[in-house]
Amino acid sequence: MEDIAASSISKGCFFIPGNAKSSTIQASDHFDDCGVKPQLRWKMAQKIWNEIEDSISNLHIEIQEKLFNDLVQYIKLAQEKQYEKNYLSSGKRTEIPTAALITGVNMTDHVTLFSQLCTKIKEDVSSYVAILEAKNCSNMKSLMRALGDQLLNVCEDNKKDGTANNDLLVYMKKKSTPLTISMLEKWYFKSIATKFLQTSPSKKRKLINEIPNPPIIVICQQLEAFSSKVLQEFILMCSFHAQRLPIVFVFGIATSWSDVSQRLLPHSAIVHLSVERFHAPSASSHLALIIDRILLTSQHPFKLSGKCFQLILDVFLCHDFSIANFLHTLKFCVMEHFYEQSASIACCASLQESIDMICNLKKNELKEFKKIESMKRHLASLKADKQKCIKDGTKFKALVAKLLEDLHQFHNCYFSALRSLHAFTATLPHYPMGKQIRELYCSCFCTELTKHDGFQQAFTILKVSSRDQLIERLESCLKPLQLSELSSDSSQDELHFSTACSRIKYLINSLKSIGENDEVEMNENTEDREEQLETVKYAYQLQERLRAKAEKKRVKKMTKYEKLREEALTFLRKFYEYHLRKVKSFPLYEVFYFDSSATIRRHIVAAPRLSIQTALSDPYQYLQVASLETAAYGVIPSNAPDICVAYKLHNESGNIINLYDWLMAFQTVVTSQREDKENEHEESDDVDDITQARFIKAVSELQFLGFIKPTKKKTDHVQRLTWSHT
Amino acid sequence: MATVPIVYVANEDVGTLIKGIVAKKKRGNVRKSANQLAKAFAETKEDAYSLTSKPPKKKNEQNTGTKRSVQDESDKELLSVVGAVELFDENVSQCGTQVYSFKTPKRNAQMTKFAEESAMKVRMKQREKETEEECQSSQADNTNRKTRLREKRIKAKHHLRGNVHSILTESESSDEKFSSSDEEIYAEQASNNETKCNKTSLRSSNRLQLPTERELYFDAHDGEKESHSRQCKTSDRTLQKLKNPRMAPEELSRALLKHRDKSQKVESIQAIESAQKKLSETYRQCYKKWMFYLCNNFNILLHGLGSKKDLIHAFCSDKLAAQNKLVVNGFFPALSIKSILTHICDEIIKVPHTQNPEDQLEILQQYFGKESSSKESLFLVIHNIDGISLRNSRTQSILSHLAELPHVHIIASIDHINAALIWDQAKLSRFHWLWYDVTNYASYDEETSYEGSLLLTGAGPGMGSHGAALALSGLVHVARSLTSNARGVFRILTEHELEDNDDADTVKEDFSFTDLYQKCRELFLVNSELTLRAHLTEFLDHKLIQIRKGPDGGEYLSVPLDHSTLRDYLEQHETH
Repeated sequence: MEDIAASSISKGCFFIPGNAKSSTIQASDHFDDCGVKPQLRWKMAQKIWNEIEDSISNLHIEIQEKLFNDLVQYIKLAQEKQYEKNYLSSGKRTEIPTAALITGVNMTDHVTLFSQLCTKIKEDVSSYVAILEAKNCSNMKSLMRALGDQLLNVCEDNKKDGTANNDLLVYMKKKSTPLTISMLEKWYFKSIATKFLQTSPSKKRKLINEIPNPPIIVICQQLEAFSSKVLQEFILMCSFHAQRLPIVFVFGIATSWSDVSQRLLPHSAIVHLSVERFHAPSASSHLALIIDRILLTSQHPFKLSGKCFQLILDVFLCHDFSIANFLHTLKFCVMEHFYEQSASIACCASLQESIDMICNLKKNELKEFKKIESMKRHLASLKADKQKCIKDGTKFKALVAKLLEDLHQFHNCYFSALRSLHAFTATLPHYPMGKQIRELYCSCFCTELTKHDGFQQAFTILKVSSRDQLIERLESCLKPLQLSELSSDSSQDELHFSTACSRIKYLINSLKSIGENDEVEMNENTEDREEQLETVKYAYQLQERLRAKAEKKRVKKMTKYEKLREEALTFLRKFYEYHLRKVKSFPLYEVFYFDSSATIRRHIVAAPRLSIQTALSDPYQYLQVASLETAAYGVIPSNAPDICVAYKLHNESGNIINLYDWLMAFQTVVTSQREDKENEHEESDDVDDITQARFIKAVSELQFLGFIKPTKKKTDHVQRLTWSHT
Repeated sequence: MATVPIVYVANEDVGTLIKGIVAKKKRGNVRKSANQLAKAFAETKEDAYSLTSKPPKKKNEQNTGTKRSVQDESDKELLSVVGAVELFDENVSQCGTQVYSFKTPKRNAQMTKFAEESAMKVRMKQREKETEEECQSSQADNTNRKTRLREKRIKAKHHLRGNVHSILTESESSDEKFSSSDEEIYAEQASNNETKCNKTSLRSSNRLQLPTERELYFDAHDGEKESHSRQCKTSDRTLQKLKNPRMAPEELSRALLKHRDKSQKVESIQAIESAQKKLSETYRQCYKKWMFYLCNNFNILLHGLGSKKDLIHAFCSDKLAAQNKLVVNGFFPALSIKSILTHICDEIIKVPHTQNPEDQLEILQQYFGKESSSKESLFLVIHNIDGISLRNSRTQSILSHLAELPHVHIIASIDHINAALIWDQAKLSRFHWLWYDVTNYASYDEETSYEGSLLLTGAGPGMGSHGAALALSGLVHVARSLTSNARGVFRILTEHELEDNDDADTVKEDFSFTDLYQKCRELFLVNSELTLRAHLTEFLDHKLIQIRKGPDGGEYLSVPLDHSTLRDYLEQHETH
């Protein structure tokens, strides 16, 4: 058994076996032991994550299903057409049916897409499917080999083959034989014949009526990655044999078919293909669906705060269009939330479960709840006598239960109200509240609606909307409210969904019934005007009075329509401001929301170079020693780590660095602490061997890190590989 | 989005408002001032509260960590428009332009000047501290002390201004001549200045000396004419000026040990070492979390300055003691993905390994790929996954396929500044890295022992203290397998290589094939050119010689190994 810290000059890797009877590792063993009920929290985390994952994969399947069904249908039809063509007329040029699947740029998710497509085709249509990847197909030989390997593995289960077929198969399977398409053709017909013979008579009758020969489907995963020459030759070759061999192509295209036909394939190749286009759902629309249907609903108790949400979205949109990575980051958020936040024990789907969980907590576990920031704020804001009863366990539990109930009710309405607001303001010019509902979610999370610029702007624009537009908008904002379950409850509260729905309906109807410019009867009340003017003393009072009068005049002069519009807008404003309150203002929101975007940034979107350069140029950030504080200003303390000193000095030089000068400068900085005066008068040509040793070590470490490298341009010089400010 | 309130104030109050927002520190430019602005304009108490709220229950964060995140949040409030900045910034004090900046032209001897100034300032600061302490401990009354200090400061400022002036004039006058003599003049001047100004204040000398307009002009415009000579504008001194130009590795380790002993007594260095230890302790608290994430199909990647070998080993002995581990030293120069896969196949699966790494990968994928919970897990502990031999795309692709398997877990470390370039999106999505910053300023003893250094004897490209031993043992091994005639031929080559090195002035003559043939015939080592060629091919295969085509069409031979290695070889094996 070797020591784990072994190092040798001959071996690079060492194997250290574990105990024979070690149990397999379980994540639950390593869950945080402190905090409230760790095992239970871990189970909840797993449950919630599995639910989220299941709903996302169901959505995924749903989206893909349509595409896959279309493709399979196309393949089936194509074969029938081919068969008919061949049967009816020979001598005409046969075209190879091709499905151009436009998949979009994201590549990492496409691997799974194509493998799922492959399995589906194998189930439904035929088992002769081959996926070609560009890296295996740099020339014809390797392409045929890749194709042959996949097709030949299909009929491995036919054990009763005739010996002739077996020999051929064995020969073809050898890696050194150059496969040609005529060999494949021979093999194909033989294998079909043997299969046909092996099936029972009843099945034979069925088979004759169906597709005569199962097609050979060749899927090219990333068409643009193939070399144009190889692709051309392959298509030409297949077209020669297309009469007898039923080949169907499926091309995965990242850009568009017109691009491919212009750049990649010349006309002479395309002429042999009969192309039909299919569009796979693009990654961003997929993500939008996931967000709409799963994340921005009250389905799952775990939610992301606005900033985290924005960050994950930015990573998706700016780095990679990968749904798989998005899911991983989401999983990390869920795990991190349940690991760090003990109060997440109450993060359950239904209110009753949360309350039950709270009631079962012991006193020391309740302390965790008191530590939450928003809870602290809330407790501080309560009156003094109430604060005393918080010490009592049961009263505190009751308080927590009430707060959770508030939060739960709030969430029930939140997302429907959000969608309603989105529908209401989505069509405004310049999109003051964002084009997508996720932008609205992020902005509503961070700021109150009353202070939200976009909200004010939107309502200013709406104040001058026309009747038809207003009716349209009211109808669109009514729909999400009606869809929510709460609209069926009856309640006296003015802002409750049901009353809101009925009120909006009433408004719509009345708007429809009146014309645009109906006049209202005016009541003249001119008597009190002059009186008011005379009692004015100061200029600002006069200003206010005049303003109020102008307002009244405006109100009186409004038409019926304008009055209704005014009424509708004020009501809606109140409604939204009530239901879309800032989440952070609710105590205990941390139970459900994961709010630490800094954690995500630190662990998922890390910048390793930044950490190295910060450590080198500003060691105070890591080592809290007072003397290092000045390192950032250009004064290198003499007790800084050697590598920092060497780094800062090398920054001051140009492209190549003279090692001798560097050594001298290093010595100057490092020995600047010395008090004895005789050293100052010495000729500093001779270097102490300790200093030299330290310098050598620092330089080799910098070389290891990749900042410098030795150069032959001048003797005893090194070349600088980076450029930076500090 | 924060809104800026508009307040009408009287004329007298304008001054007070403006003063409050002056950014005190010049560095960090936009970020710091934005932070102060945010605090100044926080509208409600709640906003101010949220600006200073900490994320809940962060055991592992230090103070600066929380401070950083606070400033982070408030900055984002204001700079939310600048989306790209948010994505790449974590640390407030450095933004993208400070890490990747432009190539600014450096003046002659800027490094030396910088070092001198820094040393001067440090000494001044220390002396000021000492004088202040002296003053505080003296018996004089308050007023006397203050006046004395003030006087000293005024005198010192005057001195410094004089010094600054003299330094600048000196550098200006020496700008025209690029000789190295002015370096010495300058050094003398600097040391003279030091003895003059004993007590100076730090405040006036806070910033570096800026170049004058003349210097900047010449820097920018002279390069147009002689761009080549300008670029290599360094002095001509070489390491030969030292009494010990190249240290042997043993001397190096002895000197470092001496330094370690000495530094035990120096307080300031001890402070730093204790801070380092504290830092490492905080990282040990993360072990449990790392294990948790490893079990959840994430892989851990450690980055940051300092050797992470000890940290990872402590983690292994702590948490992975009972598991199967494969420890891979990525910094080992002769590593290959084939050896890694062979190890796994041999030790765990006990399957006879095939030649092709891709086939081995397939076998492993079948073995570890099934999701059953009763399978044993394999932990790959890879030091420096960005090591020299692991950097190529094929290796990383195979490693990423391994990482994807549910029962294989990887914990790795990276050190090179450009390490993240070895992975493209496909590999990243298979690895599922969780990045952890474990800066600990530990020294890279083992990792650099394999690398070469110009400053060490027995060094050359690719050979360090370990490497020298490697080269010599390799040479001996090959030599033993040669026939005596072949050894003789090689001896001639090495002797020629070593002979002209005594006199550094003459350029070594290239050894042509015909010369070698002649010499070998003289010593009866070969019969014909064909035999000689066979010998040379053998040497070429073992990478002992290099053959170049010369300008006249003939072949020229050279031995690319380090001279000291060759000398050792000749000394030790003279008898053969």
